[in-house]
Amino acid sequence: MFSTTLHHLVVGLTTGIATLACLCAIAAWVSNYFVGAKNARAHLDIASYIAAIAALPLLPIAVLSGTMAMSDPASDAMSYNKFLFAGLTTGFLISMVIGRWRFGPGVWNDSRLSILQAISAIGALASITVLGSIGAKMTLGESTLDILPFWPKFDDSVVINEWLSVVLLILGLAVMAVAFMLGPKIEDIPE
Amino acid sequence: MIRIRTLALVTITLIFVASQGTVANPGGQGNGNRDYVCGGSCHGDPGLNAPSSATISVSSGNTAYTGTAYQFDTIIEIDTISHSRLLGVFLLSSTNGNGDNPEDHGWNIIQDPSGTTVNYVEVTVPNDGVVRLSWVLNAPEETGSEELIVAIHHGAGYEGLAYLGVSEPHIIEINQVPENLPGFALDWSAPNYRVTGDISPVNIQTQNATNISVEWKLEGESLSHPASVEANGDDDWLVYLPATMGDTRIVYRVTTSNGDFDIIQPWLTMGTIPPEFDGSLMGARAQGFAGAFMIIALMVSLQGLLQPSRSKHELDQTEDVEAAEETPVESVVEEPTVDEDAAYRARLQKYDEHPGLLWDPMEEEWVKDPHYGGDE
Repeated sequence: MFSTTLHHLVVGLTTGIATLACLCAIAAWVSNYFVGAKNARAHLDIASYIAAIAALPLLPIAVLSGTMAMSDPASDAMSYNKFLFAGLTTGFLISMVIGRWRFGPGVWNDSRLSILQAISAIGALASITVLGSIGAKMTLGESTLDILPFWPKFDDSVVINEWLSVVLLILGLAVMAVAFMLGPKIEDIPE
Repeated sequence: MIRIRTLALVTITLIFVASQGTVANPGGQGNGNRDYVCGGSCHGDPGLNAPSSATISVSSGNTAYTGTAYQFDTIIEIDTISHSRLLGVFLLSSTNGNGDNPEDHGWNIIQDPSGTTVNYVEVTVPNDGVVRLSWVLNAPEETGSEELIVAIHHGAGYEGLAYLGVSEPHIIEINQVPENLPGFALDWSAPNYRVTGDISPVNIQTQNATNISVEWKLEGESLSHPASVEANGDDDWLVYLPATMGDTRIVYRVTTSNGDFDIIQPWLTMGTIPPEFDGSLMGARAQGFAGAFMIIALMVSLQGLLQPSRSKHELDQTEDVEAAEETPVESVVEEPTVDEDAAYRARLQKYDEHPGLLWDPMEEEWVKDPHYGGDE
């Protein structure tokens, strides 16, 4: 019972903070197209950076409390999809934070990198929206996104064999390590 | 200050008004066994409902035999429906608000329109606004007159009101079953679903039957096909129906016979469900983390690839100067190599009339002869 209550609390916090991070990042990117938006961009950048960092530790707490709140987690396609989309959200949010950390606040001044940051933000926002909608479908039987004329079937999932998933996890770790260690040297972009 | 208070008051009022408008169940309540007035939901509140304009008609016969199958067919024509097009339909024996389920009046629901055994189902209204539903029930054991009533509720547009409709009672005379009348066993319920691709036989239990025949067709088809039947004991039969895939629903009809009677039973429906979900918590976690790592790897790689090239400012020559200071000074004049020198000497031409000088035909100039002695 406590897990359910905790899950509701943490999910609200995570969703809110992560949505703020993503929206601020998208707005910071859009501000590039407006003359005289440098100050606003600086504020949006800081808000996005701090919110994304704040959301990251909340995500695993939300996943764990959700797992504890369920009697049989990942036993149906809907809850399985929640794990997959939680992974995608984490990946996009961490990418956003890494990009901002490596290039500094000047990341928004470079057209290509700012688009990449915006793509990370849009990816994270979309994943969070889907996560929330699946949660609403599971608990309330409906979600706000039902108003859309199209909606993917979340009662179906891409299930890979358990051991193949572990292999995929190790492969993902290796690829990430390679990307960090063998990639080109990154330098701060001057503001 | 007054403006802030007024704004706060208006906001609170709006929140209350908005919450009043959403107390209905626009997402439905789910199929189940329910009494009239939707099992305690707000739909019965006189301030929140209105009469439905839908037409409800019943096309079933008015005679049934005790303990035998009876098919109840209803057609609902509805012109105004909510955005979700969801319609809740009750099959009732009364509209008292309790004990309304036909099963409380001796009926036994063998199959409802959704393939289960409940008296309340929710259906999506098709574009033509006509909904056809059938319940298959075992008639009560007591003879006499029984009523079956159809009640509906639905939304309309984006309003929060629940629209209610009730049919005229359909009166059925329950007659004493002729002795030895073959039919379904009283405690038998039709299977609701089969797993996709399942070809295992369907078990049918009967009473007073010495033989049965079964015909089947896919829902919506007009032609039916005979099914293979195998006896599995007294009044116990195995019927082989073809496997179904996806969302296909198969309908089948059993004719129970015993030499004296041949009773054609109502059509029964069987849906198809996907195989049992075979995901695991560990697999889900591993797959989730793998997805996260892959995305991070992709984005980090793209960041490295897309970062701006380190081009220096055109006026900033610091690096060049520093590099120049570190490298040793080299001769500006290139010294010809041995091969080049030999070739150069070979092409020089000596003329007696110009002692001490050699003619370079390529450069077209006189050069000093290095071997010319000073005494000549």
